[in-house]
Amino acid sequence: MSKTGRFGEYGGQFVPEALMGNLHQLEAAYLHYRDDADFKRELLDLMKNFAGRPSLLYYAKAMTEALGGAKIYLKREDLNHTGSHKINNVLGQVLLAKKMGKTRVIAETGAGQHGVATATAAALMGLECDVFMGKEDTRRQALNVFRMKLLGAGVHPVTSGTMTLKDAVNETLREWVTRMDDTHYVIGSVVGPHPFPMMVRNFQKVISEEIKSQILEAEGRLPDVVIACVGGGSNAIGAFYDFIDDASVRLIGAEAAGHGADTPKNAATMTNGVPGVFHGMKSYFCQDANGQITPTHSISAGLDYPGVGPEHAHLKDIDRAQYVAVSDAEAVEAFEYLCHTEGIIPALESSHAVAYARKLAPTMDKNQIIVINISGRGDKDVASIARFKGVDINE
Amino acid sequence: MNRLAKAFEKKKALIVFVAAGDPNIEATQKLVVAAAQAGADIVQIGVPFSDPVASSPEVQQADQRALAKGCTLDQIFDMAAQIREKVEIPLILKTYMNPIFVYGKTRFMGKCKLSGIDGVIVPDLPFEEREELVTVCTLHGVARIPVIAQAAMDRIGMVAKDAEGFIIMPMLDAALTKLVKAFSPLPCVVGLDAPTAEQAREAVAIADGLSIESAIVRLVALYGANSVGHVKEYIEKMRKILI
Repeated sequence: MSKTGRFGEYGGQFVPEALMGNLHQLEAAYLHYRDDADFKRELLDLMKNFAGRPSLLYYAKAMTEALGGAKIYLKREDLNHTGSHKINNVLGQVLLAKKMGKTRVIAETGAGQHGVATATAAALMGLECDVFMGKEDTRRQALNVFRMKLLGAGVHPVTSGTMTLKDAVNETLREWVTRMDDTHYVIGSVVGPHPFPMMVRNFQKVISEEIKSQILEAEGRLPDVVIACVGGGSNAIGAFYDFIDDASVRLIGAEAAGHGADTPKNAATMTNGVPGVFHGMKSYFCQDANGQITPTHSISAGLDYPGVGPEHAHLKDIDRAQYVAVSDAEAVEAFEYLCHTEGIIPALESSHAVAYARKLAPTMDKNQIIVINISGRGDKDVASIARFKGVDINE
Repeated sequence: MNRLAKAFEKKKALIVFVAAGDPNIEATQKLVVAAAQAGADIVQIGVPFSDPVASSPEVQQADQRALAKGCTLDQIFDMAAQIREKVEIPLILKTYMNPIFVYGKTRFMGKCKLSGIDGVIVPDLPFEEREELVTVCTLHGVARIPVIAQAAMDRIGMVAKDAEGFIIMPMLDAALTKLVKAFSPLPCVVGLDAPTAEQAREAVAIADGLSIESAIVRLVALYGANSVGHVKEYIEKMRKILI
């Protein structure tokens, strides 16, 4: 049996025949440029001088003292250009697309962070850009829609299905099939058919590589726990990857429980989902007994997705990573907590990771270390928080 | 000779796609029987899926209507078994991979055999992933029918040689048809959403049959449970064009 692009039994290439040629071309190009000295130099230069890497690893002293347990460090991906970890993957993929001679990139987006990052990289490198976004998400994240347009991208509201991230992926896949010659699909997470989960992870693993060297410098030892939020799972796999072989480091993914993992309104794929085949990959999905993908809910558009990257499914099955569910209310509380305690406004997505760290830290010793990946900044979520709290801010 | 090979014997085959469960499963049963009586040689029964990424907008909407009515695979297998008592033509299930996977691959193909389903079309199962179904399909005598598009030009030989039953090409392309036929002795049909009379004639001039992918779905969307007469009339008309 062909094991191309598998993580254990997960992953694979479950797409129409018509896309396979493109996926093979992309894989060959990626494997070539991955080891190409010019490509590596150009990407490193973009990461450093355009995105602002390395991002800081910040000791959250006030939070540590307030919780009274483990020492807490925040990996500040929110400080990257465009405000999240998404830029790491996008710079890699858009540079690759350009090397492949593509003149146009397309992308799906949930919260808009990946769309903004893609529009940014396309503007920088002179490529045409079209972003597909669920109509429901264009409402939740109107500011990001305008931001993408300012950057020169076309934004296409998706009105099929639940009008959220899953449907945006469907439409972007459809668009790709109709126009493959000049177009590269910049998938925003470690999802989709091979080579995307492997390639996106490799562009994101810089997060864990930096954490490792930064924490060794600050503390002289590895952390005990790394926590990241999980939607598709790109910031989490980025934060986990370099620690997978370090058995002493616990890896925890915080997924969205929405109104509660035991209510119908959640996006807790690992907690409630079962293995299936969707969006080009075998992985865990929120679905019913007949294999129909079920609508999900999360206050955070970026976590509002019924699937998860195949590598996470594998890490869960082999017990190397643990996945926990955090509700909308807990995430909002953690959002406000980090604002007050540390003067940092985290993305609602990242707030899920902060929320679980708040529960975990007090149960740990003072000489232990937790690293929370703050995957993005929360400026885009201010209006959502106001709405959740019933505050009228005259948006 | 099996039912699929027989369908292509001595004439150009007319294949129609019907979306199961739209407007309801009883209506689908009547439509399939009526299609056979009106001269369809093979019927593709579409299994509704929440996210049919490779289907036309018409089929997507039909799937949504069917799912809203609670259409399930068990209903479709029961329906197929009842249809099989009345008609001899081959019945094909067109389904995405997830419903098969979640139902259980062996259970799914076993049910196909029991209810008289002759083949499956799985749009999101490319050649590289065929091992998912090869063994179970062979075991239960269910043909794996591929769709070969122009974009996959360099893959044609590989996919065509692996095909079973027949091959669908979703476009009017004489060169492509010729190429596919060079690699496979199986019948090749042209799949079109809602062909005009001229396109239908052209399709059977270059291939062994015509597969109509969306026209019936459109009629059902328009006439609902009262669509049987309209569908019959449409198929009779297309049948005459193909002869």
